[in-house]
Amino acid sequence: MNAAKLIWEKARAVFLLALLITSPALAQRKVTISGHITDNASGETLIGAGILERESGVGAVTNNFGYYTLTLPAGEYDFHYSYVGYSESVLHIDMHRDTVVNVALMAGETLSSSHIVARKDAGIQSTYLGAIDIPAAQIKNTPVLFGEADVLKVLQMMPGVQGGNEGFSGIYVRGGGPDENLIMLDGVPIYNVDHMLGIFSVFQPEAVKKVTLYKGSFPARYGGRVSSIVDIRTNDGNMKENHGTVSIGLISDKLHLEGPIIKDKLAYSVSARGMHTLLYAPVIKLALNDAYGNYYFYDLNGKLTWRLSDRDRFYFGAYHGRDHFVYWEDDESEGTSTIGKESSPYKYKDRTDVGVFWGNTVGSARWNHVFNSKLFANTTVSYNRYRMVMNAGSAETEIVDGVKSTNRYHLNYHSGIRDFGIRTDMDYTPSPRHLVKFGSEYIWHTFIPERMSAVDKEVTGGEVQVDTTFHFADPKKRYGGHELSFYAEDDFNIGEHLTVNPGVHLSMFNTEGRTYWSLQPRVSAKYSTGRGLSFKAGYARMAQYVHLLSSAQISLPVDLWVPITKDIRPVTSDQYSIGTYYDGVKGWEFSVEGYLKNMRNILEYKDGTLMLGTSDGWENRVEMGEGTAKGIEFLIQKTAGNTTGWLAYTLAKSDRIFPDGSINNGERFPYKYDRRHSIDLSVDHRFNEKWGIDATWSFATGGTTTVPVRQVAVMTPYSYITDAQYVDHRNNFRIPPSHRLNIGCSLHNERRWGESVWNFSVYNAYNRMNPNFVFTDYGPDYDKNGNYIGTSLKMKKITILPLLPSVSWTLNF
Amino acid sequence: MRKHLIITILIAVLGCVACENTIKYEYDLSDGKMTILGQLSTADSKHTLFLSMSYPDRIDSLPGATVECFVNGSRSLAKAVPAGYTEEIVDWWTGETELVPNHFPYTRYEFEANFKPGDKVRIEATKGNVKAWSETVIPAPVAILSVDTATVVKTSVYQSVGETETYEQEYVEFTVRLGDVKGTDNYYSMNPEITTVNTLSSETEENFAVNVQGPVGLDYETFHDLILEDGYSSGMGDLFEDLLPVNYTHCFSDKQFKDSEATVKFYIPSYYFHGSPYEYYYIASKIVVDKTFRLSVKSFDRSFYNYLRAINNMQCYGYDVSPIIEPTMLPGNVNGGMGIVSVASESGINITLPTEVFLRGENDNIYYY
Repeated sequence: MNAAKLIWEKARAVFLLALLITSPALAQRKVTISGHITDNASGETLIGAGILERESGVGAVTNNFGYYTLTLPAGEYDFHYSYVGYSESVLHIDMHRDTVVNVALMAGETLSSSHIVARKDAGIQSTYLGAIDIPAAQIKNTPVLFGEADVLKVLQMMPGVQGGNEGFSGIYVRGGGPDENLIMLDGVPIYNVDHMLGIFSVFQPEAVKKVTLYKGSFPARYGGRVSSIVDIRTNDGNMKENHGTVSIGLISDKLHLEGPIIKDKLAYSVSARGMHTLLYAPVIKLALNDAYGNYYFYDLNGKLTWRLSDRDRFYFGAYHGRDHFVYWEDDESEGTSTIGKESSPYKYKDRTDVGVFWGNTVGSARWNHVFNSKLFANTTVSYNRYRMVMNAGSAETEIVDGVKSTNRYHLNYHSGIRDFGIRTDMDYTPSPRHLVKFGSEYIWHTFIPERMSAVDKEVTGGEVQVDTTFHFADPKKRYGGHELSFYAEDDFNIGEHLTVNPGVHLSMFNTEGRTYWSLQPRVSAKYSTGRGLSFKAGYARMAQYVHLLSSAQISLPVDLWVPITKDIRPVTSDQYSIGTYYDGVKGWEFSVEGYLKNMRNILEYKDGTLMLGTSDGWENRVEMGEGTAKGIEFLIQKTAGNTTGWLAYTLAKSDRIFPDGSINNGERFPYKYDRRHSIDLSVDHRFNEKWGIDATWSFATGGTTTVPVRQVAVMTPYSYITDAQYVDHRNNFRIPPSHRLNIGCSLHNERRWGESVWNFSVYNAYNRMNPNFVFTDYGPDYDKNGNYIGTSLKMKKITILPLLPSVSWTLNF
Repeated sequence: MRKHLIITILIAVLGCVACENTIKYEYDLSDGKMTILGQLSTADSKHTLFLSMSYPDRIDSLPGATVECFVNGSRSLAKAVPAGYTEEIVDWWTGETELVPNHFPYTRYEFEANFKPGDKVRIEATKGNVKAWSETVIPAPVAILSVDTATVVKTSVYQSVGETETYEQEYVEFTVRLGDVKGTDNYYSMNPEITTVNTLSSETEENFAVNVQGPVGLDYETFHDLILEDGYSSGMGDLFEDLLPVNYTHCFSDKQFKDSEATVKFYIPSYYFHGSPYEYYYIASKIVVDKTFRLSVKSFDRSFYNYLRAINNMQCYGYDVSPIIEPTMLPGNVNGGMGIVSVASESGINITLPTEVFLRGENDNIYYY
């Protein structure tokens, strides 16, 4: 017997032994009930819905595809099917053999949490720490900038999640960077998650069914980033009847349609969002005569769900989103040129133009297969492309004495990423006490960090004078990466009070002939006292193989994703978390979580490095170092009743150190988004069927930035002396705190043809001048009479988001 | 339609009307720190230090300070003499030196001392109750094992109308074999310099003027020499020169050839090695050009290496803090103050180039560049 086989046999024996220990009733004859739980009106699968056999207290919840399975000894049972916001449904079943029961729940009375089966995947009843579910309704109701509901901005209000620049969508989780978040749309990673330089995220709320955030003890099935996982699931499409939504907002217009193609078998869901400037581009063109400038973004989502049978379901999803900026200007003149005594008629015309577009295209095909009542499989094939293209140029035409000359210069710059992936996830439920998940994933990454070329062409009198193409970056340069991972985890109960979720994620990344392996153990444990009080502890190791070369505090199209290389090692993190939770009061949840995260091989630009995204030699411009993040997070949530919302407070600290001395002289310094205190309050109140009001208030200690502290003489190699601004250490200035109140109000009117919803909101209601950028400036000083009295050094801030009212109208039909 | 257009314009205007406010931030404008700057060398006996006072909003000169140099604990110089609030400027035309008011607020201090590798050199500066000092040990010099030169033509290739278009440039290729100082981490800089002596004659007067230019430090191309580039780029042409920093300061570490030998290559355009005295033709009918080339490799300590790297970054991206550039921390070795004092040991070779004679009317256009 070879070593591998021996290890396998031993592992199998340990696994079976664990099953025997934790499943005392294994010897009895078992039967399994399984099926899908859906919304009665739409047929939409419900994620995290529960089935509970109250007498024994045994239950199960649906997975991301609405599938559940529960194994019990043969006998008669009353099964209670439930879901938050839905009426409970009770089925009496005499169970003598494995049975498939698909249940459709009706929206209605909200249950208290004591009647709901503990969710395995997220929420305070799951074993994981720092796992938060955010329903689509919560996202839609939270008032945000320009009245545009935004997934990432709601995430920013969760404890442990910091916003980046004030008002922008970037998320910084537990001291991590913006590229350390794996944001997935139906299981497919999305690289560019922002529109409009980060003011909006690319996720259209109408298409989103549920968002789950993991920031603590990560499930073993996730990997590839070290700070957070954001799992966004989209609507499958209404299986019963056609419905739609039309929305007109201050910035964009939206359309969402869904319905059956074949009732209860095949459904579609499509969504589109576009900025007004896209729709009115022809008008703008007409209005502007010699010049035209426009910026717009759009998103298109599509999904097809095919329920072939109770055992097989197929999902085909697509997303395409793009930001587009274009500008051109014409100049034209005509006359006579005189040189000496000779005059020549001439005509001149030129056009200068710039165009930039960037965005994602994602496609996926998914197959759910129920092998048997205990084994569920999901296989996904995905394609993901991010592309940025910039074109700029000028074209001149001159006719002198009838001789035509043209001169054209054109610059093209583009970068991108392309991923092909295949993933298999298996859910195995050998007994009610165990939920085993295992699977694997392979992603073939192709990174084209940048390509640039320029064409210079001159033609005079029909003859080509110059026709040259310059290549400033190797046109064939690309980085490949093969990412392979395997995982296994088991969520199981030991006795009545203790739940444990051990798991392991093994990943491999191969690039430039070098292979990195990473074994990432994960474990979470939850102890419930049985009276709503529970305690959790967890540990997770994560590894990351891609980096974002980011140029500024906002998301720019020239930010470049690059893979690790033979010299740049993967980022790894070890996170330890503990927490206390209480949900013993109906409709309320309380939690306190603490964490300590150590990160290695994190990248920072070296001192004095230009951060504009250019991939050439990027390895030489960054340094690998260590980071520490620690904090305590408090969360109080009201989940039921006419008034819902949450209050979150985070006390956090995050710093970095680069021992080799290339950054901050090797000394520890605070991270750019090290915000000590964050408070987020969100309240949503429904007065009646027609009126509702929502308000959010956020406070955050300012992040840090670097400002010069004095002027100093410096010396070049040949003893030339000049002056420079002196910085004593990186991130030496703490930006003033930010706080703002957003208020939204919605009016619902039921019409014969559907529901009309008016939404009025005010962003930054008391017009707080929150800082977006801080800089120093030498400026004049004046006395009271306005007389100039000298020049002094001043610290200045720029606020780009003052009080902004907005209104939107939505029609649901 | 018109309503939406107005709303869109309103939003655009709101977005553009970013508010700028002053944040209350108290700088102590009287908080001055003494700055000492100096590049001393074993190859010279005359040395210059630059002293100034650094404040949050200005730099002041520092006349009247007491500056002392200690070598191995012994004071070799009682007090430095300030060169005055002036600067020596060499007139490129006549070769004469003149003193002009200092355009930059620092004060020069000059002194004489001889240094050798292994010496511990301490510089102290005092003015009133402000005192700063720097201490450094002179490292051992690198061994220049050989220097080979060759004239080469480097060709840049472009795609053109279905064909390949090339641009040629003649260089002198230097192949230098270095022997690292063993047992320590070492930091070097490669310093090619050229000194030109133009001797002018006219029809009426022989050698009526002698013009000395230099020594002038020469820049060089590396074309992917990993040691000399030291982590910086080779440069990719005009378009990217600002984006991709090159090693302007010519410093490098021995991490790629530690305790062993290394062969490095660099390229200097040929025209630097030839006279181009066309500007004298209207007063001189004969110009004799004598050029002396010196290639030196300086060894210095890590603090000065770090300082040069910081200066390199500043030279690439500017000397002021910018929101899109991670700020450069200026390292130093001055206690109680700021700045850097380096004492380098130097190895070098001198090459006297063949004398060139230029006669007006015969070779007027040679080596224009």
